[in-house]
Amino acid sequence: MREALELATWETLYMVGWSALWTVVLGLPLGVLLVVTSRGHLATVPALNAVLGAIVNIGRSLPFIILLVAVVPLTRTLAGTSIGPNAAIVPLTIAAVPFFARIVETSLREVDAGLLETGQALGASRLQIIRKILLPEALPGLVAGITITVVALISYSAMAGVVGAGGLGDLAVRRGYQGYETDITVACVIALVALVQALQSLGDFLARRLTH
Amino acid sequence: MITLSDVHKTFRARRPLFGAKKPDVHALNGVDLHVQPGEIYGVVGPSGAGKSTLLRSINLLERPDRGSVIVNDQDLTTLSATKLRHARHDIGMIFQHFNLLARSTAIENVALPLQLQGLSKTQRRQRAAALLERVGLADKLDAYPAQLSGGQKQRVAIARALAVQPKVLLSDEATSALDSETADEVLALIRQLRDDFGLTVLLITHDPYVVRSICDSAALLQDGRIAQAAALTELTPDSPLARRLKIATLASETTGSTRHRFVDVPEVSYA
Ligand SMILES: Nc1ncnc2c1ncn2[C@@H]1O[C@H](COP(=O)(O)OP(=O)(O)O)[C@@H](O)[C@H]1O
Ligand SMILES: [Mg+2]
Repeated sequence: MREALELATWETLYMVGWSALWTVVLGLPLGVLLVVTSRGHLATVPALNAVLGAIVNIGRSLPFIILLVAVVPLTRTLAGTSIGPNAAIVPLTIAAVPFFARIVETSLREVDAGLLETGQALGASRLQIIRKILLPEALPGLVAGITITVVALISYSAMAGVVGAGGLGDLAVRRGYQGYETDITVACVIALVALVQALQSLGDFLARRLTH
Repeated sequence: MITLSDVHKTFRARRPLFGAKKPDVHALNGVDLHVQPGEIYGVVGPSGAGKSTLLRSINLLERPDRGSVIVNDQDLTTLSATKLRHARHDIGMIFQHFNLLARSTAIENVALPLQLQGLSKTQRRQRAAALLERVGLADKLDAYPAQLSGGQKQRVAIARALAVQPKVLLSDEATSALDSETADEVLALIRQLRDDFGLTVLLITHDPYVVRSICDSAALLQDGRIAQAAALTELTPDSPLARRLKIATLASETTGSTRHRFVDVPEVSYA
């Protein structure tokens, strides 16, 4: 049981870690675009803004369990397989990117418009304003947003057993629930709770350290 | 140094979801303004007169619909985006609410424009430290804005605005959020910096006292037009600008030996 639990924990961390990384890599620029292309912002492009907004909304409204199955062909192309932890990273990322992008959008909107204007007055380019003003000023909010996203990914990853991804959720359902090994279910739940607690505390700590 | 000719700016109202469309706002209605090199020029006017819009059209934060904006012999309205960014390096700007990066220290704030221009880290630190020293904040280099008083924040903002050695300083109600004593100190600093660097300063304010304190010339902006512009020494007491500056009232309050009594700002020295 101990070995199974350890393996499942690693599988969860593996899936969540990689999908979180890809989520930030893809979701951060998407969130930035959502903000800067909006009306009255740095690079107003209402049409692009509307399209991006629609894509994000579609992504956010799909139930994860359906997404999991629906993206199997894509997963096969990107991950080279449609089962296992690697295969779960694709749907997890697809589910989390729009979620995270909206959080990024909200954090960036909190940045005072006066600061962007100051950047312009200083002769900064739009890219410089984004990199040197918008993102640094929003950093505590972005870190908090990453924490929320990672926690959401942990809970999504529990469903990834559907594609044979393994992980704590899968172990809890298959051996614990369906195999009537209640102690395994309990252990898995405890491990998940501990994981979430630890990540949330880390995220809170970082966000606090970054606030002045 | 700064010449605005026939500058117009209209804010078009957007059609609201419900109710009647609001009328467009004609913020600037043909503004002509001329600021001499090295002068401190004040624009006064009632709230909503278009003062901020006027100031913001000088570095094209607000692009005029019509008219020309000549700064430093260059018509900014004709410049490409890249050239405009370069032109803006010659125009410093300070704001009522300071607009400092909350997550950066004083020295990092001042170093920002130097960083944008690609100076090395050591060069940036050196220049920024010297500037902060110049505005009297040698002991606050690593303080965050939240740890500074309003006057200190505005000094940081001034140091930042002057970091890339602009020829022009624009000030949008820079002392309006400060108590009167601190405001006096900041005004004295601005005048000192003008004297030392030969800056041209254009400030807008709703406060007549600011203009009486440090301006060489002033203009009255009303309904998006310059109603009157004059050097303060040549101002006739019963003109609209003089009334706005409350110069006539002050003169009658004083013993009468000087017709125009300008309130003197105490000299503050910065080590
Ligand atoms: N971005 C904007 N959009 C719409 N209306 C604006 C905008 N900026 C200013 N205005 C309007 O233009 C007029 C002049 O504003 P402003 O230049 O801020 O005046 P002041 O600084 O003299 O108080 C006001 O009626 C104001 O509501
Ligand atoms: Mg104003």
